[in-house]
Amino acid sequence: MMKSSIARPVSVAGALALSMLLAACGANGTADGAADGGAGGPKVTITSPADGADVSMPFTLRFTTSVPIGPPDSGREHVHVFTDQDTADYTVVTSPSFTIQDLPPGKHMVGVTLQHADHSPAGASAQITVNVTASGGAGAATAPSGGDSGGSDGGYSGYGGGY
Amino acid sequence: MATRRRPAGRSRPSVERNDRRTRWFHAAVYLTVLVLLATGWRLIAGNEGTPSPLATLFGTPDTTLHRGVGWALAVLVLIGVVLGRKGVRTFVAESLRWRPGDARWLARWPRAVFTGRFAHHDGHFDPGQRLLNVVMVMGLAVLVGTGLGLVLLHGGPVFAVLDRVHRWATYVVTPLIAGHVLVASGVLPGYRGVWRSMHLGGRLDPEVARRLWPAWAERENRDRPPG
Ligand code: HEM
Repeated sequence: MMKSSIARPVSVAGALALSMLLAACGANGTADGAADGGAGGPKVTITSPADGADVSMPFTLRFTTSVPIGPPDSGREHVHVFTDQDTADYTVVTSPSFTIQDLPPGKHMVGVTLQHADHSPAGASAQITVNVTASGGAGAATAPSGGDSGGSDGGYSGYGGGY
Repeated sequence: MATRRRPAGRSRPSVERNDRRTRWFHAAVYLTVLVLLATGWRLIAGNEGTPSPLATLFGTPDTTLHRGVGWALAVLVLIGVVLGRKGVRTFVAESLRWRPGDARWLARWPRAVFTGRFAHHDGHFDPGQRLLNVVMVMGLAVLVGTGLGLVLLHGGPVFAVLDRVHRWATYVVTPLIAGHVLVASGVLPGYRGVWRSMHLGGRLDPEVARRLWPAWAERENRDRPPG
């Protein structure tokens, strides 16, 4: 007779608790306002629009990175673009420009974070604030400006990104 | 694993197919694997930036959930292999056996799924299960191995290769897991009643045991007659 004991007790609750713990650990790394990766670390810089610029929909977000970017399956880094602090609701961007659409009028934060190919944070981020005017208003802001603006003054509308 | 009369008031005897620790291990593995399948397919579909209900529940992006639960599965497998060495050896030995009569069993299987009239086999697992065990476990091992490679490397050329293997292993494993769930859920007429072997006490109706694993049921009955 064969005993069907493939393993000793392993609790599902334990496994789930562990997975939640690990997931929580991973999540910390994507926190808002993560600094650029130190002196020799990777960098991401928003070049357009300028911080505080008035923009109309749609507008093009341009940025530069200190490391080559590409699709995750190429093994290269990529960028997550999100708005209004909602880091969980983002778009994976693999080239240095991206068109943002459908933000309602008002003040919004636009953030970018550099991510490794496995989607873990590479440690670099930048963010700007834009003021979305009514559609067809002032043209899209294209003037290059320093990215890496770090924190901004808050007061964003609650719109949750999700392009 | 014994055929026993149920306590007074419940007349039908039952036979224990899987003990408690096996059932817990199985449940922990399938819970983690189901989360990994759901979050992995979300990545393939390109929807990773929009949080799934699961990601919302855990308050973390799907990719972070995938990596975290991936680690949990890896730890679970390690614990299972270390603490359940004997069981693992038996599982492997019983899964790798092959007898000439097994081909006949496989030939009759497509009809038997609906009629319940399976050909005889003398294994602990039926020949179909044995094939599934081998390919599914190998597929999951490849997924865990390459997955650990992905999280440890973060990126680079080797990552790109492992990522391709990880994705293809998912293509292989997904229909096998779906088939396993379909069969094990007992909704197919030939497999009616089988779901109990891994759930709620792991005890089967002896009739079901004889239909699916006749020689095993016979051995069980001989070694531990109904009490
Ligand atoms: C049942 C087990 C698993 C399944 C079905 C599965 C499935 C997948 C799938 C389909 C992808 C997307 C691949 C792509 O887009 O090219 C993926 C990505 C990934 N998996 Fe898994 N996986 C499993 C286990 C694991 C484990 C154990 C780990 C390690 C802890 C892991 C880590 C990763 C990582 C880091 C990625 C991101 C790579 C990328 O986006 O290119 N996975 N997984």
